[in-house]
Amino acid sequence: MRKIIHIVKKEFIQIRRDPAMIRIIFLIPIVQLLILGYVVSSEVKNIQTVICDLDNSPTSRQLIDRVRNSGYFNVKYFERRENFLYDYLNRSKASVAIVIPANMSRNLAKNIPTEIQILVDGVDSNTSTIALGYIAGILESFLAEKLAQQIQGGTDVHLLTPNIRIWYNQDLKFKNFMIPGLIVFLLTMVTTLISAMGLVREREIGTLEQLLVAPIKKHELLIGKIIPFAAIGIIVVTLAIAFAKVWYNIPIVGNLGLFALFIIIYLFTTLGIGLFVSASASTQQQAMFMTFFFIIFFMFLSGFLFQVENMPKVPQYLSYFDPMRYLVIVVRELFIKGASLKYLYWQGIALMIFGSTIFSFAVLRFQRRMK
Amino acid sequence: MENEFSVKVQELTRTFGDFVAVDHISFQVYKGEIFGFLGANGAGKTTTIKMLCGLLMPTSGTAYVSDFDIYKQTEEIKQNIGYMSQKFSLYEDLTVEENLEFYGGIYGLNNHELKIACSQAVHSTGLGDHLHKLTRDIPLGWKQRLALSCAIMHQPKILFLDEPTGGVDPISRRNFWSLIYDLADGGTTVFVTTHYMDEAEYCNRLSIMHDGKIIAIGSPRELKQSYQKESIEDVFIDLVKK
Repeated sequence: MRKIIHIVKKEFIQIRRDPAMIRIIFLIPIVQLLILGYVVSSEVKNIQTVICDLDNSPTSRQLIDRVRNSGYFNVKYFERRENFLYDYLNRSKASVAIVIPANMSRNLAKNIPTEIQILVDGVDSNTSTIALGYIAGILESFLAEKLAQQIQGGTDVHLLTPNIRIWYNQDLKFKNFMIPGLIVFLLTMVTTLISAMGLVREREIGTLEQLLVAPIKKHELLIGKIIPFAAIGIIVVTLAIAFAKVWYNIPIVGNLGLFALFIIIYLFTTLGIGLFVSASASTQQQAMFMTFFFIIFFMFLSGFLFQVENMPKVPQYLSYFDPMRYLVIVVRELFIKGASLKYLYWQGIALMIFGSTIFSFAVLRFQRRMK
Repeated sequence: MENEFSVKVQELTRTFGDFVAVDHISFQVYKGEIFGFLGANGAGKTTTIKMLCGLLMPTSGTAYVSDFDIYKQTEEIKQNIGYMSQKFSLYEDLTVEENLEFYGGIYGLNNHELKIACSQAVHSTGLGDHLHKLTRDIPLGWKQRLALSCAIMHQPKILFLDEPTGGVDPISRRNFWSLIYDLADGGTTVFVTTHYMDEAEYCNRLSIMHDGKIIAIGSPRELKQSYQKESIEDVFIDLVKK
């Protein structure tokens, strides 16, 4: 125990004396959140839109107003000739074109199915998918309303208006969804990297050998090395949350104690990976490359940037092996919904399995005597 | 009956793939003597020391350090030995005092013992003026003395020094050797590797290593007599040429 304390103390002195380390701990979370927060949560807005209204009726004009007032579309052009629409898309003057067919209002009145054509520039598939989603939503509610009017013989418009209520994240802010994920990513990156560098640096300067001839048990050495890194991780996360709250005004509905519990469970995984890298690499450069291999894999499969549900089957299955995936879910649920433990226990179990497996694997991998 | 040997090595061998780094060497080191391992770079000196300190698994052969088996009793060995490598292995971003306390601490010294060991180190090496300086800011000769002090904070019975004087100026080397003599006078067995011929002359007994084998062993005087040479350097060159 006394030996562990000496290692922890030494590690803290070294961190305190290293200006780069101080910057990593205090600046990285804030700078990254400040810049990347805006990048990852950039909503799809101001979609340049051209409308070809062949119906030209009060109903069609109502629909156009709906599209305009949704806030997502910037209806810049009206075009009477349908075959000219391609030109707008080709020249990137607009990325969405909506064609309202000539007989829409008549068909609607007679309950005949009507097709409204939407042309989308698919170059940026992400934006176009989101734009399509918006339009579908607008059309749906518009048609439902019209239907309601017909049933009531046009007397009471408000009898069957769809009552859409969004639960959680009520202002539908993308950043409320993305920034908790970004915090998880930050934590993953910082803690994996510093723990990967920790032992390798000692190997490079030769002090590791000196530690290995001393009568320290393997677990004493590793625990002593890891406690300061865990502390750094907790500081980074705390700063990041505080910043997210103050700067982005992210609602934090959930229990912070529960959040801390999950973070600590998760740290076994990231620090364990760092240790594993540390035990396998002989130079800091190698350690760096190995760490980035893991981090990139974790980031892309975690659902932090790309929805897991939208992935092809194979990466979807692989994502179950990504520990970051579980924490991203937990953090989002906790931040936005304030979910209680009973909705998160499955994630907790998964993270505990990852943590204990990876950590013990790293400890086994670390050898005091060269074979 | 107490064993008179600190280190006993029989047919110790280490290979790396096809390369035989240490080739069936046998020797004994008496308690309290300064035993030198002389050889060119790559002769197998460091490999031997690493096996004795429990850093490297031997391929075959037996060895006992302070009567403990190097295969099975590495924990007991570690408690009883001090080790100083050619890299000095200090934390450059810690002060001299912090280095001393850390290395003492990982050998399990308590605060009281640490204090005594630190003041002893300061007394014997004269590090007092540098105690609160960062290790990176002190001259190499002082780093070397600090590294030695760190290695003996726990008062080991046997001290392994792997080329401890590399790159250090002659005066510092002379001072360093006087520290080694003090330790040996206090009963510590010192096992030292070197490729400096003048340092070889300081040892009580000497083994000359070449290509993983021990090709001669004895006191410097015996070696010079049996090969009829003026100096160890001439003995060494004569042996290696054969």
